[in-house]
Amino acid sequence: MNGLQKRRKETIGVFLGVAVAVFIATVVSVCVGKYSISIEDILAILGGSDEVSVMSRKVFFTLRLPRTFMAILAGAGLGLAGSVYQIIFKNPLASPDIIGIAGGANLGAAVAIVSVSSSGMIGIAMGSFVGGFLAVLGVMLLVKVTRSRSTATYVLAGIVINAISKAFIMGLKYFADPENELAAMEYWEMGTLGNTTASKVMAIFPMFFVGFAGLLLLRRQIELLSLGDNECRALGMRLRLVRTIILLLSTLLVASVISITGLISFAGLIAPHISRLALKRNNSLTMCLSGLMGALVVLAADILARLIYSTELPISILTTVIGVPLLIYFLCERGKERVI
Amino acid sequence: MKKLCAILLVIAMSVTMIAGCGSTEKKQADTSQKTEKTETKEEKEPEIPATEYPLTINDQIGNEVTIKEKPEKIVSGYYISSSTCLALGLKDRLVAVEEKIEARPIYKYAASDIMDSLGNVGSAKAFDLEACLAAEPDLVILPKKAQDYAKTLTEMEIPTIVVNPESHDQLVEMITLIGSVTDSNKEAKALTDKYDEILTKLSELTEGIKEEDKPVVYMCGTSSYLTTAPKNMYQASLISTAGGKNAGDVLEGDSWVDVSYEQILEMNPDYIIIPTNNMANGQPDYSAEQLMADANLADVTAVKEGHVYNMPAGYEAWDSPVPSGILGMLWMTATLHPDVYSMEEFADEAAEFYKTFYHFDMDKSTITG
Repeated sequence: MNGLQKRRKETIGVFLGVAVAVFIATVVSVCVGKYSISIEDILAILGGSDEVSVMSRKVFFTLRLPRTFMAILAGAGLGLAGSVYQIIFKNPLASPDIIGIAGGANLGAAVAIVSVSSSGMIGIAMGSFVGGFLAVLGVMLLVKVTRSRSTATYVLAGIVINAISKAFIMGLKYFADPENELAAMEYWEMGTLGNTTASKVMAIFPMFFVGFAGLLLLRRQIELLSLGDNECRALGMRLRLVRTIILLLSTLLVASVISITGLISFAGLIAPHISRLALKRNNSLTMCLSGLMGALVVLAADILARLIYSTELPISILTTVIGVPLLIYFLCERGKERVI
Repeated sequence: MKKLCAILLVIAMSVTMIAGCGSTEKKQADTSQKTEKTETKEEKEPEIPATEYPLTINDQIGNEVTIKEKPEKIVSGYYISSSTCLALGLKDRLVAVEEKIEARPIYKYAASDIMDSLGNVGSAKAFDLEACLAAEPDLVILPKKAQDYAKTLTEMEIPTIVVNPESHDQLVEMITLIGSVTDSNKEAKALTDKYDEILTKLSELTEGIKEEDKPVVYMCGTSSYLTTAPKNMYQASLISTAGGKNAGDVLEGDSWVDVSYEQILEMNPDYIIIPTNNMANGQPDYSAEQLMADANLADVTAVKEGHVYNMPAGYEAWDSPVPSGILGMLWMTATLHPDVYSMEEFADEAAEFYKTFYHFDMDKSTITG
């Protein structure tokens, strides 16, 4: 067996392993919750049987299934977008935070919490979505103003926009009512899937789908962008246009996710690293694996969020708890190979 | 023979019919007598009508809610509505409440027997929809902060009302609303009548106090004494009702605001009040002694004269619009004007309040020391 075949087998093995794990986590996720629905009931509900109580059916279709679906969407979206950022910015620290989406979304949510408190979660979701988008447009505008075309300029512009967002958020937090508004802002930053319902998932799905499918279709261009600006130009790529489209698609993806879940962008930082270490390369395959890995991390985190305490825990605590050991494991594995 | 039989049969039937009619007439007479009796009774005591179901009612954010039957399984996701349910005698109909009830002393006193069996539906920010549904409620009460969850529950055909007790008037409105939807109108009226009685008493007590005799009161925040209640906060109205002037009236806002030492020195309050913490069994994060030991505040009149007080801990946050919040106004009056209303009188009043509405005996020495 030659090296190439061995590597292909390894890649298929890794993909299969993660896919099976995602499937198992999905099954566990639909079975876990405070409202007890037995596995037999779930099978009966899925089979269209009328024997299950109306309430169990409602809980399953309005809360349990959308929540599981949202966990998969959130993880896959953040994982894919994170991987795209790490590839095109050639920066292992790149995540949705890097070009200001997270900061902008956070500011948008904070503004919504303070100013339109009566609109509730829908207002916050819209605020964060618009905030995230405006932040990325701000980054692009800054890049245009500086007339610098390098990716480093995007990163710097992202830092600037993030800093501005943070300053405004601090201002809003200072003047916010500590018991209601401030608490709501802090809680939003921790992220949760606890308030996911079918209607919310349906509302963001079209935008998510456009972002996700668009990035997958542009995987070759994303790979080319990792080579460097000069190489891309030499290959005849319309660099600025392609980069803008990719950034807008990824923004659509990330903003639609965090408008529902709150800030859980850590999954977007860690999933690409784990995938790269597992596949030992950084290309479009890594992007896909990163999406799967993200879904696994968020699903597992959400299952734990529901299980380990009498009330639900914020998911960001658990994405870290699950993601970090996985990352350390793969780092150690790579370390061993180098020693050998 | 046949004829005889026919005649006998006709006679028998007629007798039965007459007897039957007679008894009906008697029954009718009995019923009308009973109605008369009830009517006479009603005339003597104007009865509060029972709620008729199905009931369609607007909640405190204006949502129209229809409740088909008298709710027997109530979930309350907010400590103020839960405390109201206890005060309205709905303890045995509560199936699940907000988290961390062990940190709220009122449960220990008024609902110790059901504490273990009550479900936990999380907080207003992180309401646990599945835990709520697992309790199979036929009525859910949620605060405005959780209105989004209320929308989801309504979509799932669980009757859900949203309450918003941010001021005394809104508290009264909430009590009446909960009374209506749970068919506890009588209990709700008794509680709100008690408020009116206390408020009348308070205005009588404080009307004779001259403006210049009203002390300046600085109300600290629960987590730090460098935060205070500004002009439009509930706590500001508490102070003015009790015959004091809120030091924070110079500040705009309707929630706790940060202040510096300089601002407190400028306000130079005659009294400093440390409110009860909502959680942690009512214990605030700092004591009156700690505040008085702060050298930066040594020149404030309240500190110099030793007028720094903790609101009594161990019951409920009397500085906020909870059902027993009215006691906070009385306590404040007893603290600021012991000559018109003594602490002993207040302790009696508080004990009576809890005995009447929460059915437990309060240890008066926790108030009088």
